[in-house]
Amino acid sequence: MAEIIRIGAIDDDRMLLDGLRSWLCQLDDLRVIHVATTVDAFLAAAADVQVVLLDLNLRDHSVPAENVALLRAAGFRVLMVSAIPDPEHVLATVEAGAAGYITKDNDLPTLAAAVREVAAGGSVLTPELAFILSRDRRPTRPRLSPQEQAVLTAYAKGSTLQAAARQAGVAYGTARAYLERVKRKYSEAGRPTHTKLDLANRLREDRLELDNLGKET
Amino acid sequence: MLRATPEDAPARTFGLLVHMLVGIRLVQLLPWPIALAVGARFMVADPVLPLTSYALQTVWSLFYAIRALRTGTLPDWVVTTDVLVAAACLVMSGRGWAAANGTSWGNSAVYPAIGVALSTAVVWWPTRAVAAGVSLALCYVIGVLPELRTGGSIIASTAGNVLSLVGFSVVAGLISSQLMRSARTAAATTAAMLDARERAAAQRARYEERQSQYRILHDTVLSTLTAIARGADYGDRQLRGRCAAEADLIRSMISNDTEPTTSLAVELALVVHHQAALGLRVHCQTADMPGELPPSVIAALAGSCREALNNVAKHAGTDEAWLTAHGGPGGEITIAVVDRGRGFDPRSLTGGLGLDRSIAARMIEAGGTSFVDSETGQGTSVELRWPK
Repeated sequence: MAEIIRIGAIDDDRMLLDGLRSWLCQLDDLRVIHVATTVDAFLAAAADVQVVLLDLNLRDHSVPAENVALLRAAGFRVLMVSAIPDPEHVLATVEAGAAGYITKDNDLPTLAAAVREVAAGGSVLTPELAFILSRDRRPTRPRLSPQEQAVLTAYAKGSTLQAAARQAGVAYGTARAYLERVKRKYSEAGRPTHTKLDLANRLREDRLELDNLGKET
Repeated sequence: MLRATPEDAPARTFGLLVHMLVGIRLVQLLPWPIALAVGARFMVADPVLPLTSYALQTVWSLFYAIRALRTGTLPDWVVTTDVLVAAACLVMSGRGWAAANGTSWGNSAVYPAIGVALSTAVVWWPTRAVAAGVSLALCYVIGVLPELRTGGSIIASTAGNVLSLVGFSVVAGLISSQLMRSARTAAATTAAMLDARERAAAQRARYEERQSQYRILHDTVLSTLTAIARGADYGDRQLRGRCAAEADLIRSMISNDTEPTTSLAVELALVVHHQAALGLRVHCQTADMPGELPPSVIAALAGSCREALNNVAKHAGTDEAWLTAHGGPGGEITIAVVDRGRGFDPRSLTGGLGLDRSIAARMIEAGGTSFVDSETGQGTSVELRWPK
């Protein structure tokens, strides 16, 4: 039996939060520990959670990417959740360090799998996030190789990784590596080192991630 | 389809009149050289004047004819010059002839002058045309004035020519103005009819759009709200699913600031909504949707998506599908309907044949293409592209 994953959730809809709690109750290894309607309220409680499910557009008009940055700075892994895919903000949150993005119309197994992946220190590239990344037209977008773009585009249509690999003409393992690289390019694009303080934070972040990886293996 | 524009009728009529004037003018240059060629001899007082007159009239008339045939127009300056040349020739030619010859058909300036009077009648009717006709008649009289003193038959033939110069222009003016008037009436009627037809079509389109939106709302959102209001005993999950589908539908119908709502987006939302009601969860995402598409293309794309999703529900053994659509810079569109179900072996003939046929036919008819990609155990992907 795996260790229980402690989850926090931030959404301005109380009903959704309650629904989420009872929904995840069905699974033995996931538990919602703390919920809040704003990021400030969530941070004030200093809850001991591993993964925060963060609604993309909160009603307090906070900037999604700043919300992610605040939670990341506090040491939380963040999984974005939203009803409306809003490409601009989704891209910004991914670059701000969100581990993944998932729409609210997904079923429990999909959500649970994403939470487990994020809790384990991985990142989640859902087809909906792949679609937004594949249609990224900003001049500042991370540069992708033609093969990376091909796998990403095929995967963004909803194909299984196996089918996406076949359509792009690469091996399954290669396709998986490409998608991971795409995701990494995006999270790295959002971490420019401006100052020595930033650099120190970056090192601390990386070390944390390494430590966590060490624990799990 | 060739559609005559309403402006055509008067332009065509005027063009016809210009051609007629040019024809008359060229024919009117012929009698004099023909008479000389067949051996007619005239008594000439001063050969320089009639020859100069004829040469001037010929050169100018050729210029006039070529210009008119090329441009199809007779601007004021051409008609004015025409009148001045004809007037000068009438005087010169008349003075050049010996007594009793200037009033006969031997006077080479008279026939072209009648042609000039006709063209003023077409272009300048009525006041300036009549004035021009009278002026030409006067110049003719001035030219042949020395001969009039001989009296008798000379007076009669002079009166005949004067009457021709004024009378022909009046008759031509009356007829051509009548022709132009009926052409303009026809044009105005056609324009009004086209306008009315377009207005009616626009009105009908608006009405139909509104009706179809009402119908959509009635069948979806209204029925869900009514069910909730009556205390529908759905499971929480199912009710939420239905509300989410309605929300997606309304969202796609209302234009938001990120993407203009196209009727393709609405059609796709309807297709997805329909599948959601039947129990297939469709993850729908769009980007850079084209602003406008022909209705036949929208119908083919939406119909193909419906068909592809029906196939997922029937054959894929899954309750989940993805529909992604994105436009390109040139107004093209690509739509993919993908599932992660059981798929089929593309080398077996039975697998996706029905699917391929019904969708491919629709897309080809609308000027697009479709591709089906599958492998046993890897799901199926149907991709639609327009244009080809």
